[in-house]
Amino acid sequence: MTSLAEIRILPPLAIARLGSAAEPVNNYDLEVSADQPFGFRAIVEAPTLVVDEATGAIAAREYRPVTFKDGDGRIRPVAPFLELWGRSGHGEDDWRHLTMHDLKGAMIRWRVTLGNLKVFRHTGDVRDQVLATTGWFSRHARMALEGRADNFLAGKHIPFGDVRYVRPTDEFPQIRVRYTPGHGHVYGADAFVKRADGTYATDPLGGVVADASLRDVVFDSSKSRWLGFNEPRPPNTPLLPTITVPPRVFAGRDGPNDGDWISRGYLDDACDGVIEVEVHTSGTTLRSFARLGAGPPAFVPDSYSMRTLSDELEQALLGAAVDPDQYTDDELQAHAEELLRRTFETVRLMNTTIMNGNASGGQINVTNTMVRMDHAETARAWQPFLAPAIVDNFAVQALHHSIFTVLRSGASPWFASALRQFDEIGDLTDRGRRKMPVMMCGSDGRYLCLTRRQYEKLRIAATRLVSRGTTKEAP
Amino acid sequence: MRTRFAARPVAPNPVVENSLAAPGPAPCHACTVITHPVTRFWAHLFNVRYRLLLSGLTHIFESPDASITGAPPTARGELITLVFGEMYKLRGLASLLVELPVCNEVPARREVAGPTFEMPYTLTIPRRERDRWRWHLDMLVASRGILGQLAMLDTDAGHRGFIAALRDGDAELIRRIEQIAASLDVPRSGGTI
Repeated sequence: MTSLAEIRILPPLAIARLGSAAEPVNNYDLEVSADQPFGFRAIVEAPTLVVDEATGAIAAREYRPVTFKDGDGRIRPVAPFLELWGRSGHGEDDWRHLTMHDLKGAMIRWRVTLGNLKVFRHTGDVRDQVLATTGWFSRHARMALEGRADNFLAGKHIPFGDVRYVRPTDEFPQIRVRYTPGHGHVYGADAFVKRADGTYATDPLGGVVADASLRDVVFDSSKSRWLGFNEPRPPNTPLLPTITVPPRVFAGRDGPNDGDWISRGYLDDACDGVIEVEVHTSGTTLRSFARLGAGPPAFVPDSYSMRTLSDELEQALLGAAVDPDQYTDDELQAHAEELLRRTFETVRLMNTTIMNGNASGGQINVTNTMVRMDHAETARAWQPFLAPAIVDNFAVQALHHSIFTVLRSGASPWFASALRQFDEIGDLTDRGRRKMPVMMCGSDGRYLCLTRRQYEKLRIAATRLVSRGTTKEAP
Repeated sequence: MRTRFAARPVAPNPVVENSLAAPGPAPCHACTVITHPVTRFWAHLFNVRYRLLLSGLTHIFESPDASITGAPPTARGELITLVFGEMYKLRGLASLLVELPVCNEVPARREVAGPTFEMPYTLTIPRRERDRWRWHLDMLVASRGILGQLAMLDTDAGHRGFIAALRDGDAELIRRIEQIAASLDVPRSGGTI
């Protein structure tokens, strides 16, 4: 065995996406068309590792067509691989993907622990925590992850998917595991009654007549308070510190008192947790872990949001401040372009007319918007963000296309002052509400803003690129 | 090593064509005619887009203001977006022109062109609304032709990305204006005029 100083599971964070199809999504890249920069990003096939179901070994590495649903309309899950890397020395360039040859004679074992704590988040009852673990394993079979809670009915669980230690072979000797998430089902409490056709019906709370999407009933209402749990938010009363922001993030209905929100007892199979690995040799044990999660499918796989988890992680890793020498002019310009691209990709998915607070069919306040939030939460006068005449979606897209076009000319991104900063998310003045991104809500319930690091890169680009000073030779 | 200047060596009053000054008794000595085979197309494009901006502004002032709370997006809103979009694009074209040479003989480090801002021969707006939109459309079609020329002549990778963005954005803009113009067409019936 190669002498190792330390090991890592890479990537350190993997996000699976729920789906009930048997075959996961094949690997792909997103590419921007050179001729049509405002078009959708092209989904381009990338090498896919094909795992043999019977042996657990990789049977092939090949390009395969990319589809997001199977022939029966079921969503293909995203099932990430996690690789075991190690290094003998301490140089950053020493890291390499370990193979069975590197670890010959060593004992490798894995353990995955996942949980869904959404109900616990609301009820505060630790017996509502849904947890699953594989225990330590070294086999190459699929290891099921069965989410169980003390407050579940006897024998019931929520499948969180499975994990498999991929069998290394001479052709594919690398050490890796694969996590296949759950199917994306909804589970309920025991007040539902299973009918002869397999569907569930009769919510004693009176709201649900039938629910064909319910997969199983798991919560035992004689033990769990989840079904019928009330998370009240009485008007003109300060929010409890334990309440989520925004509130009412679970399926529920109004109750007898103003501000009541009563749970219908649902829970899904989204989850997150850790995967651990140990490499035992005669003298040492090396350990590492990575984080793992499963969330909803990406229904717009060819677009990105302005602010993504990747941006959050970059800021957490590198800090909010940006060293100007860290990026070249071209990198800063590419950052500005990518941000603009994500902006019009986001606008493309919005009904900007309605999100602006315009009337629809002569009625205002027709759906949940930030205009409504301002009005309801702060008693601010009902007021659209922008002039109602100019918020047609195509027009807003066209405007962002124009700004992107300017960046393509090599001009500096001059618009940093129009962007909302992190400490302006509660600015309800006309000027504050019109800052970009407009009309959109962040995870804290107030206006969305870029990360401080995203903003800083734009600011530096604006100051540096405008003063490049040198002139170009003739084309 | 290149010298860095506090300001760019922009030529005085750059123009694509000095035809107005030539036959007159008082030639415009302050003008610099752009003769570089690529730069002049960029400058010509600038003039066409400037004309589009001015025509859009003129059109806005002839359009009723319906921007009251609760009103739906309007053609006036489209015009406002068009005008702002053209201002942005002029900014981009100007940024480019101040880096391009005026002629083949003088390198760009010595003298560069700049935004031309040449006034169009007329700003008289058509009387009928649908013709006004077709007026804008004509300028976009003219712009498309110049961009086609530039796509053939300009080999700079960055410039080609700019050209691609302009063409892609214009294609959508043309489609939108054609829709608006079509919605304003009077249906014909019975063979009468």
